Amino acid sequence: MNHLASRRRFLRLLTMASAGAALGPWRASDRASAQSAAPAAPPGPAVARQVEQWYQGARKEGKVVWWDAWDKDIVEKLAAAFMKRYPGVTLEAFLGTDDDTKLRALAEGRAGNVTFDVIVTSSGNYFEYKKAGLVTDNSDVLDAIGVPKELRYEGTYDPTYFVYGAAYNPNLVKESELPRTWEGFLDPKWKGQLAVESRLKLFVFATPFWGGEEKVISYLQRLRTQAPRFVKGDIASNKLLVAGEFPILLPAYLTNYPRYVPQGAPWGYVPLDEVYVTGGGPGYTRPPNAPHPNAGKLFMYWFMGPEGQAIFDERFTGNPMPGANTGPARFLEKHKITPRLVPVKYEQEIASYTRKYADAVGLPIR
Amino acid sequence: MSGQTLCYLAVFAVTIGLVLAPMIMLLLTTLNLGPIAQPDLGISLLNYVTAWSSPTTYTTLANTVVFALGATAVAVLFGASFAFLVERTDMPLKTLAYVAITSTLAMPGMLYAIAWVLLVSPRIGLFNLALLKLFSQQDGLLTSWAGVGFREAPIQPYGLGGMIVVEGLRSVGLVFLITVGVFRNMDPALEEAAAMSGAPTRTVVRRITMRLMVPGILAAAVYVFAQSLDAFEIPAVLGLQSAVFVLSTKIYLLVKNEEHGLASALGVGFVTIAVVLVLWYGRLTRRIERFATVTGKGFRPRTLRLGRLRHVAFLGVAAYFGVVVLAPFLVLVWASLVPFYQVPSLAMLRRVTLKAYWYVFVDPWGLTALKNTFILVVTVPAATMVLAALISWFVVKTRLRGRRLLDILAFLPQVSPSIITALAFIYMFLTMPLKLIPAYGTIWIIVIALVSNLLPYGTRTMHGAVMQIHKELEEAALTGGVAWGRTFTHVVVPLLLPAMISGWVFIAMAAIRYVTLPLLLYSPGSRVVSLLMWDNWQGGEIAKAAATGVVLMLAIGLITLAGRIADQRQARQWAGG
Repeated sequence: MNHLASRRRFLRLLTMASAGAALGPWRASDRASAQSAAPAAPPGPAVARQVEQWYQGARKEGKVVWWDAWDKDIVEKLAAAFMKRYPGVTLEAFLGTDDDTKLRALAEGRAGNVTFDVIVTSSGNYFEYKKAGLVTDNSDVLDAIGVPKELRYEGTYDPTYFVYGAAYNPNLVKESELPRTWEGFLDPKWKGQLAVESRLKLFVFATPFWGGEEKVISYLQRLRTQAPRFVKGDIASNKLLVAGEFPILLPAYLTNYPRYVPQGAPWGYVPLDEVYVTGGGPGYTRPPNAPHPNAGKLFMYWFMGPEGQAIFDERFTGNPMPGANTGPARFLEKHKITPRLVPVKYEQEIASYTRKYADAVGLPIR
Repeated sequence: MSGQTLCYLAVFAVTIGLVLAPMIMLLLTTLNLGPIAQPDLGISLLNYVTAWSSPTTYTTLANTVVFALGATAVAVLFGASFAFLVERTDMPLKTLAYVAITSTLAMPGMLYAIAWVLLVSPRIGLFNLALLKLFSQQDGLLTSWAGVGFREAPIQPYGLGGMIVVEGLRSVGLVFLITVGVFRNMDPALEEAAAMSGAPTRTVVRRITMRLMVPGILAAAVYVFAQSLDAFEIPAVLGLQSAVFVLSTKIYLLVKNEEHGLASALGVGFVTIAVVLVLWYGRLTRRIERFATVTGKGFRPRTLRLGRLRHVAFLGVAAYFGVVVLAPFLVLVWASLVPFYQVPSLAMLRRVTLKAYWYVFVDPWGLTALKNTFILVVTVPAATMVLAALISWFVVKTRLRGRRLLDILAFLPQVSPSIITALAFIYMFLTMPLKLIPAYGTIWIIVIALVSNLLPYGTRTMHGAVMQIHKELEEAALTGGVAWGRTFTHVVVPLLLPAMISGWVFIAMAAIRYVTLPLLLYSPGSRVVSLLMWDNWQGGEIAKAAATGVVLMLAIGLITLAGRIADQRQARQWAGG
């Protein structure tokens, strides 16, 4: 491969970094500024030199090990694109749930022998990793991409968002019959029609918008009288919804839209007045003693930049806030659904909220 | 020091190495110590207090015991009966029956659980839909003929009853595999004596055959009971829907909620139950000579003639196969052929595609996964069964000090939650002195963890078989001046071979389909096929996950067939010589 040509092409892509920034995370307090964030400046020769330096280091290291919870399909695409862009650097991915990744990372960290270079920190895992000393400041990488300061969290950055709403099976219920509010699901006509995913994350993230913990507990106690069916896991619950096992599922990620709708599966997103969005909190990071430090930086730079994010956008994980012009943002605008960004605190304290809410809904954890 | 003692010490040391790490990790976690402790809370017994003072724990415990006992009863009833039919009667097509009965074990847990929902769910379950089509009160095709009809779906699977039946049926193959070798090794002299004395066949089976099978059947029951305590997928899918908890689902929710200490404190409850079970089993089978049926005298297993009942027996096995194996398998096949699951219809038939199967064979990670899975299939059963045979021999046939402890140790991994076991091995191989062994991140750490996890199965299978071998065989060889090691390999092992092959088959199946342990221990170079399926499932690629599951099941079916053929060849050699 002609390396200079490759670099020129890469630099051209870097000029698209503003798009990457637009896909970036938001913190509730920074929403206004982030929405109006100016596009990042085109990368200069200094950035190009820095990237080249990481690449040369990465070639010597030979590989980068990335731990994440993404779909196998998208990871394969990313790996192929990355290795084509940077020959001589192999991308090895470990895929697990956020829980699996966390347990293993903490065990490695505490044993003082870390085998990964880049790790996702979603589901509140960032705070555990921080306690275990597995987090670094990656400002140099984020500067190179051009991520605005207000989109960063302690030198980390997460370009992915999750929208917590509700899904329905159009073969079993008409869109016109669906409620526009969450309160609407408490109508007796939905008794026995609702399925609830057992992790109850939706209700934790709705807390600041429903008037606090007590209001959510009251809602869950009333929801319990609707005889909801508890289902385990996002994948299984959506599969059963599409199969016709139940008409409505709370919650459902909007990321399921590209999985089902283009194939003609009976899956629809309930047009609620508002849904809840996580993102904009802590993001990807690298451990201080990563085995392949240059390769880790190079991969973060590429993955969180426009090229990596273009591949990701097909999974509907881009910024869903109005005006972001991503797939999810356009979808929510079209259906007049308002996305509410969840403050980081709720991700951080998800375990204690879940415990209380599980008791309220009749799914006691302890 | 004699060769036997040396070997005993080596076996003890290996067992401690395999078992103690997960146990220590479990105990440390309960005390808020170790790699997943909450550093800001300090050492505490609080987890025990919280776990065992909560009233929900006792409701859960009661559910768990009822669930495990019920499932064990269902599994033993069918499994032992089928083992008897296949091994000791002239039922037709026995090799086919062997493969058919054990096929449930090939189906990965999460796919099996989902397949059952798709079969028995009140709304979309194919069994319920078929029954309503035939016997619906409104417009059932056969309602007027039958004289009665259903107003709603007749099968209501969500709850304790559904969990017991499905888990029990799933474990039938397991009981079958544990007991089939024991039935094989039965000297028919006692049965023949009874028959000669004029006892009818039914009496012979009830009063001689079944009584001699007590250790083998009990061993199977103990194992299935312990496995049902830990069973997760079926309770999660059929129990959680109606908020019926058992300990495993409770532990799952606790782990998801980062309450590892509490989860481990409940896990210690499992360990206690397991220790009690092992001691109880030991007590029941204390006078082992009563069960020894393989003596120094030659014998040929006798085939019981069933007469006209042989076809009825085969129909029973076929019905079991149809409902418990074939139906879930076909649901999976259907799921693998359509882009998203729907009840089969003409419209969906038009969307059938083989794309998912194509993907299975061109998967970029497939080759590595296949190679690693092959390593698992070869090494895990071999290592487990050799170790299990030695442990069982020392526990059952010797009076060496500490043998009861060895028995308990070998059973404990069964009740350690898989997450804890995996973390224990991660920690063990990342710290000194085992850090010097470069196993972490390779397929070998998965092999070691699986051997540890499956050792209880191996020892339960071998205990019953070892009890059947009379000590006079070993004594004869030793009196003739043959060394203990040679006696064991040349006299004992050939006699244990049927049980070892059964154990090998099950362990190979388990090694192929297990997900949780490999998931926490793999690195990109040590991916296995079950993880490819899990990856597809997690990515919402249900058709690909189902296609991988179907291919996996077919591969496991072939392994079972190979095991059965090897077993029969050995039986023929035995009968001939």
